[in-house]
Amino acid sequence: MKPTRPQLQANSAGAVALEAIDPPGKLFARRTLQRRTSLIQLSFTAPAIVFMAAMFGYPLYYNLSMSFTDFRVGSFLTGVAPFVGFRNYTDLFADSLFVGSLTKTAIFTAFSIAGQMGIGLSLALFFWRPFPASKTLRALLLAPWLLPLVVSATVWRWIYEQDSGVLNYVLVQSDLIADKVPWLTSPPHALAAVIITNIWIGIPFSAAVFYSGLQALPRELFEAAEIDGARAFQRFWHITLPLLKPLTAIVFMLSVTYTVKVFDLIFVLTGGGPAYATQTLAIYAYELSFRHLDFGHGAAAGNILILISLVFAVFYLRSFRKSMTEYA
Amino acid sequence: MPRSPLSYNLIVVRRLRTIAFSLAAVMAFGASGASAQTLTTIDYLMDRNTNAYQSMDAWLQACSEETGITFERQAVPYPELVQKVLLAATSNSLPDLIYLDNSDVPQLADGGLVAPLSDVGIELEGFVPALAALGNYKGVDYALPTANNSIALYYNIDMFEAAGIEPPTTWDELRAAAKALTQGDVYGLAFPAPNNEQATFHTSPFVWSNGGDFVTLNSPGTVGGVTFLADLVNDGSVSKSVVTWSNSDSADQFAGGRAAMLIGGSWEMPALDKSDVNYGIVTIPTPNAGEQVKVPVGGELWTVAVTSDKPAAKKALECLTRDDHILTWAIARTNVPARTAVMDAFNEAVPAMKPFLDEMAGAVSRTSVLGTDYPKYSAAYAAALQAALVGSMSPQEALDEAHQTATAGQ
Repeated sequence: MKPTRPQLQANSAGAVALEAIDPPGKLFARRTLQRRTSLIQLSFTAPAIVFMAAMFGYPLYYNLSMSFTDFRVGSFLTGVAPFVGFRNYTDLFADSLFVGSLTKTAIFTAFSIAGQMGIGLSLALFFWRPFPASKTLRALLLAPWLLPLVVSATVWRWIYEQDSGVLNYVLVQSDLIADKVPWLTSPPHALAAVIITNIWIGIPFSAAVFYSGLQALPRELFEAAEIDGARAFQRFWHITLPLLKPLTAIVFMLSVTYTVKVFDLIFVLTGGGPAYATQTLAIYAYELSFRHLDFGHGAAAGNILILISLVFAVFYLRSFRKSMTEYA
Repeated sequence: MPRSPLSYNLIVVRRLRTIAFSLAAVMAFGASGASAQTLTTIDYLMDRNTNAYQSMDAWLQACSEETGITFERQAVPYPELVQKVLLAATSNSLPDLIYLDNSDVPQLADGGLVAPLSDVGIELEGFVPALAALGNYKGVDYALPTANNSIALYYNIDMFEAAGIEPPTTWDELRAAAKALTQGDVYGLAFPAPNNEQATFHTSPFVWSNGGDFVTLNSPGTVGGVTFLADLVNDGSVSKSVVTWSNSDSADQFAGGRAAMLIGGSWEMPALDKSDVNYGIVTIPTPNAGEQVKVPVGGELWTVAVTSDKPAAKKALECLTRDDHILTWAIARTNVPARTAVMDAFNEAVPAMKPFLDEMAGAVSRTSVLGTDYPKYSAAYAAALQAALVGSMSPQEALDEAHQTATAGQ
């Protein structure tokens, strides 16, 4: 008869059972078991780890290391770029264009998100109670989201055209304004114009998320409040809004990370002009890297952009976890 | 149906025979001295609907037949060309011949990606000096000019005749004509001034002809040139929308009869010929009568990657830049040929381009002084030009700030 060997099980309960059965060989058996368990665990996660490392980790690392060097055209051929420490970063903060682009990014993001979330929530509330044709209208609402950004931006450029654009035509014809608005040609107007377009693009996202959030709210609460005599606005302020709070936080964080890095929209509408009026951090980084071929400074600007997104991403993960435990 | 063993044998024999024949053919070819060489090329004439794309194919094909070199061509959009070349450099797979925009030559030369022509064994002889200078970086020639473009003043003949005005030759005449021709939704003049290199390119004659330059951005000459353009906007003769127009946008305005004049490149001619507009071309007006206008030169040049097979590259380029090929290429692209010997033949073939030929005497290379710093100065200038045109700053203020931006950190 063969000596009976205790069955190995890939869990801690098995390890405990093993100890009880075979005290003398305890140490050796436990080690093999642990090694094998962790090997199995590793083999399951390895593909994901390799993928993440190759597709996300390496580019991030490369960009980070590039930002500490004076990386020029020749560096691509030789692979050599002199190390300059934090000089690229200190240069950036001394550059008035960089500081200006930070301000513009902040204004662009703040107004875009206020508009997107405000209008998105209002539309979600509007569609909450079904009415005739509400489904069709809701589907139509998604249109801006479905169009390629370059296409929408090009169309908006025609809409904003000062002399022959449809927006000025409508405004003048309806006697709302006397003089045509220089939408894309005056610096303050141009910033407003890119914000308006970005709001238009972002509405479907927040409206869709808020709408699905509203669907999940318990109707009984509202019925009870209505019986108790709460008016529509009171119901919204005291019931709907508090209940939507976790969702609002998520929409906010996601919108911030999406908005700070907006590039194609601004690039097509104004190219960052006129006179730097719409030069956000993303456009600024592009200019440095691909127009001036100054990859060291460009990488540094890009990393600051990533850092800003990262801060909000951490907040997002936190609030997401919190809301998950709240729902559970 | 399963094949019989016999038919298998037959196939094998047939295949072996084919291989043997082609081997023999290759060996015979090699013995005759013309080894089958392959050179990879990259250019940015990638719009397949244009004459340029097909003409490039024909150009390479002709030289392939003459030299026995096979060309493997890759065409990418303009903004991607330099990026593509840089990426190729990291993987040591640089295209052998790069058809490069002249403003990008200093960057690649400075980075050591393209070889000096002396290393390839080519001497620049018989080229228009201003065009040959485009490929020079710090005293070394890196590129062979082919056919290059410039800008001139297009005018709508019907509008000028209706108003009884002659095409302008001086700034005063230009300003007066632009004002007189601005009526209803028609502007007197259109030019592109977007937030990129196109703005600098198309307004540079007003800076250079006025004694200004892009090295000292707030020099009196530069400020004067920008002030003149801002005055045209203040007169109402030029739309403020020019700051959003690319060169094709402003050409569309002219082609659609919404602008009486256009500062445009020679490459606009084929499209304008197809439109309804009845146009003429004159040289760009100068501050005073009788002066030689100074214009920028654009267009592409052949460069040789440092990693390429130099003797093969030499053979290919000697064919590509020979008089007859350059003439054909220049006519196809409506660009000025870079070979002095074919100027007369070109003038006869495309008489409408005479103003562009006349301007070549005052052609200026944008990058000759600033080299790799040029993009920075040009970007700062373009932003200042925009600020001055839309009136958010005075030309002096805007250019003072631009000069500070461009020279910061030096």
